[in-house]
Amino acid sequence: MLTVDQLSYSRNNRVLFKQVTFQLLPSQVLHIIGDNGSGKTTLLQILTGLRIPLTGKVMWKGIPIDKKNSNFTENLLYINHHLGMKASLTPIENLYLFLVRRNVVHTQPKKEVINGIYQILEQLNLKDCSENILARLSMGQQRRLSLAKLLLIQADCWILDEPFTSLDNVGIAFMLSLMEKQSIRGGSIVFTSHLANFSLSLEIKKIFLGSNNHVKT
Amino acid sequence: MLKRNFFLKLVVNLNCELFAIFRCYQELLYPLLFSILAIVLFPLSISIDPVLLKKIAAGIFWIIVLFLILLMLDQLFRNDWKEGDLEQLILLPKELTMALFIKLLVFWLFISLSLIVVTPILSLSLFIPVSALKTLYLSILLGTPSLVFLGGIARALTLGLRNSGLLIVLIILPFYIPVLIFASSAVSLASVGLPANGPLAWLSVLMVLSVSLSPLLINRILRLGIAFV
Repeated sequence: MLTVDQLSYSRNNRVLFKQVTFQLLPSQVLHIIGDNGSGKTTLLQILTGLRIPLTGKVMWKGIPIDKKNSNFTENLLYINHHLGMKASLTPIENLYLFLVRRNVVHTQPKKEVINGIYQILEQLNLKDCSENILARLSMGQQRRLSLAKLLLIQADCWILDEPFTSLDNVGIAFMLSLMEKQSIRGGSIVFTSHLANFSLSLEIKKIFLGSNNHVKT
Repeated sequence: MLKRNFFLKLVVNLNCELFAIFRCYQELLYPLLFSILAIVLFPLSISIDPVLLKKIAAGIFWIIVLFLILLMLDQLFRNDWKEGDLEQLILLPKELTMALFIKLLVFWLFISLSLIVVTPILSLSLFIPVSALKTLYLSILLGTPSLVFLGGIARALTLGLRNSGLLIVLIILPFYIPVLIFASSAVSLASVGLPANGPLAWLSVLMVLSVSLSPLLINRILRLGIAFV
């Protein structure tokens, strides 16, 4: 459960947003809408704890995230316009490293884990390039690969920055189905996108970050 | 159970970093080539007088090594930052310190191994006597880790800036001076046949301190969020 209390932030002497307050219950989806430069990415960075807000606080299950809140970091999946992986490694190597860092791999042999990764890559239609290094993959393939993280581990809080960019129609449909599954599972999602309407069978909360420094909910 | 997991993480992290650096080492070769050339050209441009060179060789060698590492530091964490790998690590505070340690270790391995390979040729061109070669190697092995691990702190402080090169040099140079003094005095003592245990011991003290503490410090710096301004 993500609670955001009176968040504000300014950059270059310009107020990006003032007193953003909302609460996100399990299974809820929040869509942040705004023009370019309105502070969508900044807001997401604050929600993850990467950026420190000017005022206000972000809480996960009632505990502020800036303290050593390991429950939050273990349940957070943040995907943004960066790769979030190493460009000089192959998808298999990257995802194995990801799983090890996330404490998912314990005693099972490496082969078993790699097989699991293969299956997910097949689901994402990336099996052919599983041995190529990431720098050689196309933009869309890289974006698709970042979806593999959402499939590999179960996290209760997804924070997705423009998850639909560079995806084809099949990819967008797949992403939407993933979001539906996450919501049914009881996880919460925060995402940004320019698209205003989706064919999602879920109720979506919306926040508008306007260029006139107003925040409407 | 916990220990097993720890070693698994260590091995997988190390593996991935080694693969990453050896698949794109070209970016790191330019400073290396530059410093090798600088050392080789020095005796050519001054004089090939062995007596004169013997006096200044240790100093020249270590100044160039210091410049080499200053030039290389700009590449440290650069790809990790650009690709967003570091960002993901900051969000996993428990994994961050070990990952940083491994990153710095692999970076140091690359620099020191390449230095160790070319050192015999360089010492020959600077007329450093063969009897001092052992001390020269020891000073590289004990001195460069401090330079790399301390440099990591400056790199972490300037990570979000567009032109960080100059600032890194200004921040870190004062901390490099002790290493420079001890390392070059060890080599010059050895090249006149005196024991160099004192300066080498001090170098190892600096190494132990910087290698053990700087990953923790970099962890704190990165988690402060100053890179996102």
